[in-house]
Amino acid sequence: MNLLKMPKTKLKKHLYQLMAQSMAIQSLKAEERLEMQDKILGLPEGEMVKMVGILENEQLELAELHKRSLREMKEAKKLTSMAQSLRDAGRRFDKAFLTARESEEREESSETTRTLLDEIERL
Amino acid sequence: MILCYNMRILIKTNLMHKYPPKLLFSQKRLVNVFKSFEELPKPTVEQKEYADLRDILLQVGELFKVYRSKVDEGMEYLKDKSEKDTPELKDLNKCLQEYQSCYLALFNHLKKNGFIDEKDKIIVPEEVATNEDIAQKTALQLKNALSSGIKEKAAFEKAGTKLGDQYNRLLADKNPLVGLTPEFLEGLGIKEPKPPEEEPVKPAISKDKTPAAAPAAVSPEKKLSRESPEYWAAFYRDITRKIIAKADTGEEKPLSSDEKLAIMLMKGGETMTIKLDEREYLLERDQMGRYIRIRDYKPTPEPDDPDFQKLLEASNPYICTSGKKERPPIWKNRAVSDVMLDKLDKGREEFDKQVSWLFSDSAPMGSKVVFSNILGREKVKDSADEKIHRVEVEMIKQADNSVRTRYLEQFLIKRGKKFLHEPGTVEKTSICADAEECRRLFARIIRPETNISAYAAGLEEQEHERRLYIDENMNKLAGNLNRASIFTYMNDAFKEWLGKMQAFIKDNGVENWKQKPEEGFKNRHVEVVDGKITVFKKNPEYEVHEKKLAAKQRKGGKTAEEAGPEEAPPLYLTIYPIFKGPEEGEEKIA
Repeated sequence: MNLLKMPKTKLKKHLYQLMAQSMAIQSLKAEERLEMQDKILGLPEGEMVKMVGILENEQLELAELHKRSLREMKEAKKLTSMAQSLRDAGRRFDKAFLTARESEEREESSETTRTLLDEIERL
Repeated sequence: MILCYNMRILIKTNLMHKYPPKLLFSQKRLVNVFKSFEELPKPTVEQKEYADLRDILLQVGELFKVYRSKVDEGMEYLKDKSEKDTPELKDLNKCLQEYQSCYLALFNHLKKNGFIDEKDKIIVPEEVATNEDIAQKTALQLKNALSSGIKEKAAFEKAGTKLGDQYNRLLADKNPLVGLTPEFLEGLGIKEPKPPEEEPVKPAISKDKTPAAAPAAVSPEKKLSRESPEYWAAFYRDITRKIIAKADTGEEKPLSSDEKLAIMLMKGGETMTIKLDEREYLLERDQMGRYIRIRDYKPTPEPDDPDFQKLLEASNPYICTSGKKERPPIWKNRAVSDVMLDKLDKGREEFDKQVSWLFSDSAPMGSKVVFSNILGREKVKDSADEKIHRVEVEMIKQADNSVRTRYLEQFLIKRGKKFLHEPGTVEKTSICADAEECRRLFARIIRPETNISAYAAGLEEQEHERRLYIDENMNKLAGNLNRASIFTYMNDAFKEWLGKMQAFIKDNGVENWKQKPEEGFKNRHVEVVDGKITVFKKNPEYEVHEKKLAAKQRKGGKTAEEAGPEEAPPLYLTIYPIFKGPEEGEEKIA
C-alpha cells in the first residue's frame, strides 16, 4: 500500500481509523483529542503520511509488546512452578537437616548421660 | 541457620512487597513473620500475575544462591556421617537428592532457553517499555510531527504568498517576473517551462460566404526569448488559461505539473484573484494544495448591473444605436417586476440565513435544509386554474463541512397549456458546494426561475400573450434574425448565457465553443467576426450535396477534391450577426 499514491479521502479515512485505535490519542482528554484529530486531518498530505507512519509504528510496537508479554507470561508460569518446586525441596531439606541434627544431638546427649551414669557406677 | 535461610528468601523474593521493610525488620514483626512463614499461602500464577519475567529470574537467582550454600553445608555434614546409617540421615540424603534434582531441572531449563550465560550466571533481560510508555512516546512524536507539519505548512504558505505577489505583479505587467530560474523551478519539482505555442488562427468566414484562407504559420524567429518578461507573462497566461478551461464545475480535478506551478504561486487553502484577458478569476486552492477551483471572480451580473449593461451595450450595436433600453411591453408592468423582486429578496434573505446556519459550527453533520418555499406552491387567480411550480433545494451538511446540494425542479401543470418550459419534467442534480457556491446556485439556478413563479402568481395570461407576441414577431422577421436575438430582450437567462458564451469564446477561442441543443442554436455555427459574436447557419443544400457526393464516390465518381469547390454549394448559407439590428425594412420587436 503506497501511501503517497493513495487518494486523499482514502488516506484521511485510514488516518482516522488509526487515530481511533491509537492508545496515545485515546489516552488524551476529550478536548485535546478532538483538537489534535482536527489538526492532524488538516495537515498537508505529505505530513499526513508522516502521521500515518507514527501511528502505524505505535500499533506495531504495541503488537510486539503484546506478543512478548504473552511469551514471557508463559515462561514466567513455567519458571514460577519450577522455582516453587525448588523452594519446597529446600524446605524439606531444611526440615530433614534439622531432624538429623536434633537426632544427633539427642544421641550425643544420651551418650553423655550414659557416660556419666557409667562414671557414677564406677565411683 | 534455617531461619536465616528463610529470612533471606523472604527478603529477596516478592514478599518484600507484601511486607514493607519497616515492618519486616521490626523485632516483633520479624518473629511473627517467621512464625507464619509456613502458613503463608503458596503463591500461584493467578495470584501473583507473573507478567514480569525479570522478577522471576531475580528470585530464581536468589534461590540458586540459597541452594548452593545449603547443599554445601549438607554435603559437609553428611561427609562426616558416612559411617552412620540412621533413618534421619537417610531422609536427609534423600531430601538433598531431591533438592539437587529440582535445581538441575530448573538450571537446565534456564540454560536451554538462553537465560544462563557461559559463566552459569542468570541473564536477566532488559526492562521493556510498557503500553503507557509506547503511548507516551507516540504522543510526543505526534506532537512534534504536528508542530513541524504546521510550521512547514505556514512556511509553504508564506512562500506561496511571496510568489503570488510576484505573479500578480507579472500579470499586471508592472514588474515582470524574471527571478524564476530553471533551477528554482526544478526545486519546486517542475520541469522547465516550454514557451507557449502560438495557437493557429482559425480561418474566419468572410461575408462572401466562403471561409477565409488560414494565416501563415508563425515563424520561429518570432518565438519569445526565455529571458524576456513577455515569455514569462505568456507562459503564466497560458497555464492559467489551461486551468480555467478545466475548472468551474466545482469538482476537484487533478492538475498537470505546469498547472501546479500556478498553484504554487497561491496561498494554500486560500484564494487569489488573477486577471486574464480583462476578466478576473477567483482561484481557490484546497488545504492540501492538491486541487484547485476557479470561478469567475465577479458573480453573474444582474440585468440591472451597470457593468452588465455596459458589457451588453459594448457588444450590441442595436441597443447602443437605437437607444432602446426599455423592457419589452410585458416587462413594463412594474407590479409584476416588484412581485418578483419582493419574492426574490425574501427568498434570498431566507436562503442566506439558512445557509449561514448550515455552515456554522452549531449545525451538526447531516443537518438538512430544504428550500421548498422560496418560490413556493402558488395558485392562480382562479382556483380552478391551478398550476404548481416548485423548486426544491435540499442542502445537507457533509463531514468535511461542505454542503451537498440537490435541487429538484418539478413542474406540475394540471391544465394543459403551452408554456415555455416543458411540463412534467423532473430534474435532480447533486453537487458538493461551499457557502459561496450555494449562493451562486441560488443566483444561477433559482434566480432564472423567478419569472416562472411570476406565471404562477397569476400571469399566465400575460405570458401567453407574450408568447404570441414573440411568435408573431418571429414570423415578421422572416427568419432573418436568430430566435436568440429576440430572447435577448425577453429572457434574463439568455442574457446570462450570452455573457458566458462571450466570455468563453474570448477565453478559449471559438473553435472550442460547443452549442447545446437546448440553447436554440441547432445547425448553426457561432464565431467572432470583427469582435462580434456571429451566428452562421449551415446550408442544408450543402448537406444534400455532401450526401450526393458520397453516393457518387461509392459508385466510383469524383472525389471531393476532384469535384472542386465550384461544384459545391456554400457551407454557410446566411450569416446572422446576433447583435446586429434588423435589416432595413424589418420591424423592430421592441
